[in-house]
Amino acid sequence: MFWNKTAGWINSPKDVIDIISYEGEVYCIPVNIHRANVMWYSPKIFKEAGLTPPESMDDFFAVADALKAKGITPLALGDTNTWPSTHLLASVLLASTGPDKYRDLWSGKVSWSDSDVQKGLKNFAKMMGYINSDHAALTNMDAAGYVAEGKAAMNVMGDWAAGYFQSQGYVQGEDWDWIPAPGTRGSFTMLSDSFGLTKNAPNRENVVKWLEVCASKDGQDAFNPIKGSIPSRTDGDRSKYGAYLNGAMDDFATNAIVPSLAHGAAVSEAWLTKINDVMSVFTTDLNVAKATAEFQALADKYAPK
Amino acid sequence: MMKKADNPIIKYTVAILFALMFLFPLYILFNTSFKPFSEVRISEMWIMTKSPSFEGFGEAFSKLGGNMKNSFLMVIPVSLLSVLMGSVNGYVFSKWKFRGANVVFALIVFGMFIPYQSILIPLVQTLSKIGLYGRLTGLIFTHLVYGLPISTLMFRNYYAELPDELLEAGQLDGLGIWGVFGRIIFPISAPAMVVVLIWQFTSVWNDFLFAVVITQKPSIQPITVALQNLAGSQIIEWNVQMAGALIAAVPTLLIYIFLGKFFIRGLLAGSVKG
Amino acid sequence: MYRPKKEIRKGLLVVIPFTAVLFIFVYGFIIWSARVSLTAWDGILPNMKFVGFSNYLELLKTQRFQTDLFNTFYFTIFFMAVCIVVGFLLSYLLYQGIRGEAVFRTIYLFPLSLSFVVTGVLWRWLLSPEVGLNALLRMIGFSHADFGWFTSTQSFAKYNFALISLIIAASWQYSGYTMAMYLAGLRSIPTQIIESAKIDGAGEWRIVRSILLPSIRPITFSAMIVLGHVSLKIFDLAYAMTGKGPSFVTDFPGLFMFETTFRGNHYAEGSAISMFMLLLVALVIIPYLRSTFKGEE
Repeated sequence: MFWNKTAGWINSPKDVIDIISYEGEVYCIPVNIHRANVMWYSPKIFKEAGLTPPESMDDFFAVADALKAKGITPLALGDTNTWPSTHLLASVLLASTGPDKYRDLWSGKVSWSDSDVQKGLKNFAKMMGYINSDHAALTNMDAAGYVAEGKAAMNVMGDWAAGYFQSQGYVQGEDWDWIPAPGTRGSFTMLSDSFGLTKNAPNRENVVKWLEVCASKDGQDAFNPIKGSIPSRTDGDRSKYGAYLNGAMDDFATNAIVPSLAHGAAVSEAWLTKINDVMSVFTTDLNVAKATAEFQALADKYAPK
Repeated sequence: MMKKADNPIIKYTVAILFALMFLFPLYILFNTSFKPFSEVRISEMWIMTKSPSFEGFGEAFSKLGGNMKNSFLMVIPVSLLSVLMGSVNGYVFSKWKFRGANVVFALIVFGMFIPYQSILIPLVQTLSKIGLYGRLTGLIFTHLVYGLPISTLMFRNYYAELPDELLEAGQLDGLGIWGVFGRIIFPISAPAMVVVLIWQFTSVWNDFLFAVVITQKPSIQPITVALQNLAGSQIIEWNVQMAGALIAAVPTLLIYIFLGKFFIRGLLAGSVKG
Repeated sequence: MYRPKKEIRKGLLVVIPFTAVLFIFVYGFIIWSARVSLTAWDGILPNMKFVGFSNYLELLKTQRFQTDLFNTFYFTIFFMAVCIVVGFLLSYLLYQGIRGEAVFRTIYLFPLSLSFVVTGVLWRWLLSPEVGLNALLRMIGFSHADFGWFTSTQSFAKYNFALISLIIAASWQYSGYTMAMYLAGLRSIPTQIIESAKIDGAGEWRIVRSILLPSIRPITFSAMIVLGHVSLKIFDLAYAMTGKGPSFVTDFPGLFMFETTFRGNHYAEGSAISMFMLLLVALVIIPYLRSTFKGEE
């Protein structure tokens, strides 16, 4: 198709090109990259409790127990719209499977009964014992807010939360800070806003011009600092981006990049909506065996053949 | 009318208590609308705004002003035409019953009970074929079609209460079916007209499902859709949302406040027996 | 009345075009939907392979749809009950004569003017377990106010307590409607009947029971139909206020259909759900229509 001729101007890491391609052809131009596997935490709470933000899932449970003993909500979750729990699950799975097996899970090559996947599911079920009781009433934004307000210690959410913190006047380093979600350092779970060109587009020329802007350095550097995301190109102008975003860009250039589950990068909408349905029950009944069976059935039905 | 000589206190207490229950959600609506974004937090909804600002309204108005216009452009033709179509239809079905009229009427009325989700896809396809998809006229057309059952029902019930003698008098003067309608029936249709107008205005103004499916361009969308779109996909400016919701509610609120008693009068006039 | 065929034909000339268009947009489309519900269309591209009733059977086996059916049942019953009781109570108060009736009436009626989306957003905040009504109650001394409202996953006999939140919001919006209906009905009762009952020594309660309630029965019936049809199709309110809830405690067929069709592209499944919704509505509406028309002949 059209893009391979001008593939040179998509200056993105190979992993990203894989995600936006199908059978070797690029189908959309990502104008930005958001990161999903980020854990936001409250420096105030950690300092007072004398704890350090957890790097692994085991660390997480140790920290969570300590916090719970002090009467502090360890993890904030706001899943009234269901997807934030899927978002959390993706990070927890990634922690035990690592990037390669994670990708294979979504291509149907790995079974949900695999021991690493099972570990992830069990970890998730255990985590549900450490969340705020009103999680089903909050949006993801409300839950992130809990961290900045000092009502909860940690929150796993995409990096648009940073934009929210800044607009509310919270200060990085005091009210909030971040580390990669526990167990996922070295991986960058990406999602992106991207634009495509439909087959019979009436204004093809204009669309192509727009796509060129989206793919260009100037275009991405103009859009992303305001959006709160980083460019999909590896040569963005660092000076235009704030502290968090620079950190993200560092990771993006060096980490293994995996597609986000909850935001449509890893699986089709059809599959994802059914996964969300399973999550709606799993977060309440914590039944790993049942969830495994249901996830497997969905994978059998929807994974690319 | 009954006089409750004993216990006026109970009567007023109950009435006021209920009035408070009906009103207190408005506190949240107003309070949040007048907050600057930096103060908007779900955890502080009860706390009165410390620095009231019109920020939310300004933002909401600049974003929603055009859409409000669209809503008016849509609602006014629909309401007026619904009255016209409903009265004509209701007239025939109440006073000029042809063979099978009752069955047809029942089928028409049943049409207003269907879940609209079940016809969305063929609706979109059909509108595309006739060139109305994505246009405000397409939305107007849709509301006219799906508003026909309730308008017909309300007028038909109202006219059914009118004595046949009224029409016979006209017929004696040599008037035909539409002559009777124009000279005699239509002029006294005011109570039913008011009910249909109010009902259609409110339900079309507040409609979300058809609007979100049929109008794609933001410049044509009615205010209900625009209000939903105000919410960013991951982060929502609640003060703007609430202010926008208030703005969007004003026209229908005003209608209920000023025309409420006509609404009840109209119901009294016969639409009640549904 | 004189109804010559010629005149009737003139009438039909107008009625037929309107009705024909309506029938296409209603019945023609329903048939289309029914057809899709019997196919295997699952994804963006249409797939019209015939699969009989398997979509329907699959639905009935899913936890989500089963919960939806129970939710619809309980929500409908309680929503109707609250609107009818509160509506009647309020109409009775106004009927008795009260100073500032216009003000009270407007207050009770105004929620009807709001869209379900606005109502949903408002009540979602109000009943948010940590910061909403519970917080207010705690502020004034009820330290145990910790009911989960729409996040509660408790239930009894498949009645999900979370539904209470939706019932409150929906009744808040619609009680004004039943109030208006009842008020109109009460006021149409001839005062002589009441006066003569009073002369016969009937007390207030007696009058309510023997005169008022029986005469407004047709209104109750009619109100139930309108309220029932709102509750069977409920979508906007659940969408804006609670979403489907943890373990689908506040899910409804209308919401399920929307998500599965427009988010998940499961078109055949969505059509099957809407056929079920149609069936539910038909079960309620058809007997009502039949009795209305029998009564007229």
